[in-house]
Amino acid sequence: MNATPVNSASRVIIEEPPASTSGALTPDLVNILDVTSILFAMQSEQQHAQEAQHEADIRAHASEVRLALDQVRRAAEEARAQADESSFWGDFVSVAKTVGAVASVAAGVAGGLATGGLTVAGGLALAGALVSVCATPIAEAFGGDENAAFWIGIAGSAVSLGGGAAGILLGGTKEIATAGLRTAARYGEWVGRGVDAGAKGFEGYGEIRTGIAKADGTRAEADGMEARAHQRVSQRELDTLIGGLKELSQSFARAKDALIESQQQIGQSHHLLIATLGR
Amino acid sequence: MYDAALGFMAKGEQSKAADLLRVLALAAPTEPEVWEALATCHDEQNQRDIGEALRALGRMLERSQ
Repeated sequence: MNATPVNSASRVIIEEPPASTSGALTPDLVNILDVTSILFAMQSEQQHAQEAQHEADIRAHASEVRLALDQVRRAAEEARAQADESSFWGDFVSVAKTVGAVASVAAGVAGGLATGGLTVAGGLALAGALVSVCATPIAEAFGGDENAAFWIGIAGSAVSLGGGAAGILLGGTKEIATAGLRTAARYGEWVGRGVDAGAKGFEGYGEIRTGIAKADGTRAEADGMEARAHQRVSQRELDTLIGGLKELSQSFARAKDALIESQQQIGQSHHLLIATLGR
Repeated sequence: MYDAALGFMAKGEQSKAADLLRVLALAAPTEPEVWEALATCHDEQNQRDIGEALRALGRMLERSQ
């Protein structure tokens, strides 16, 4: 009965010193490691969250554009369906059909952007339409040079924005290189890849790169800054492209109205002509 | 649609014509007349640089056929 407490007390006395010796250091070290781990985890999490947020923003913009184009397509399809089903439209059946044709082009562009299924000519035409609708901003964002590289750059970037980077980029490079414009094709590929990388979260990656560069020294830091400068240009191109696509969807909507106006004027002229001849 | 665009151009409504011509350019990218008309719209809106760029693109697309 008495032996047990003595033994347990002596065991405590024997075990206490090593426990207190290491205890002075271990908890602190553990705490430090824990704090470091937590900070590291928080930093990683923050960087990851920034990348994810940036990617989500870009994808949200692209989705917005596709939705706008899809709305044009649906509105026109409804108009065409009404024309088929109702006599209300009467003389305006041809208008509805023409509007349907506009919608088909809009849907084709939207679909091409979403899948990367635009042809090389289609991609270049999209680039031309964007330059036309944006006028100066897009030309400035892409360097404003009116050569083949300029057009291929916009076309490649516009299509990669929609998610199908490989389609126009690889197809375009191959076909245009065949035509003898190898330099232009390489430039287009570079711009397209740059913007495609932007869609994967450029800013977040840029910050990570800069952080690593700082740790590696002055020369590496300079490399990081150069990389960031390049990324900013690509980001600007991306923003301009998104703005341009929104403008283009509005241009489609205006085209529909212009067509209706034009056909109504033709209809009025015909009525007037019939009325005059009838007298 | 091309005729409608030309009609708007004749009336001095370059902006409406350009809206129609952009649709046509996407529907038929290798038709040089469409690019030429679109370029003219820009010329008449004091955007000759854009007009020239679009003409160059039209030529490039025509050659690529």
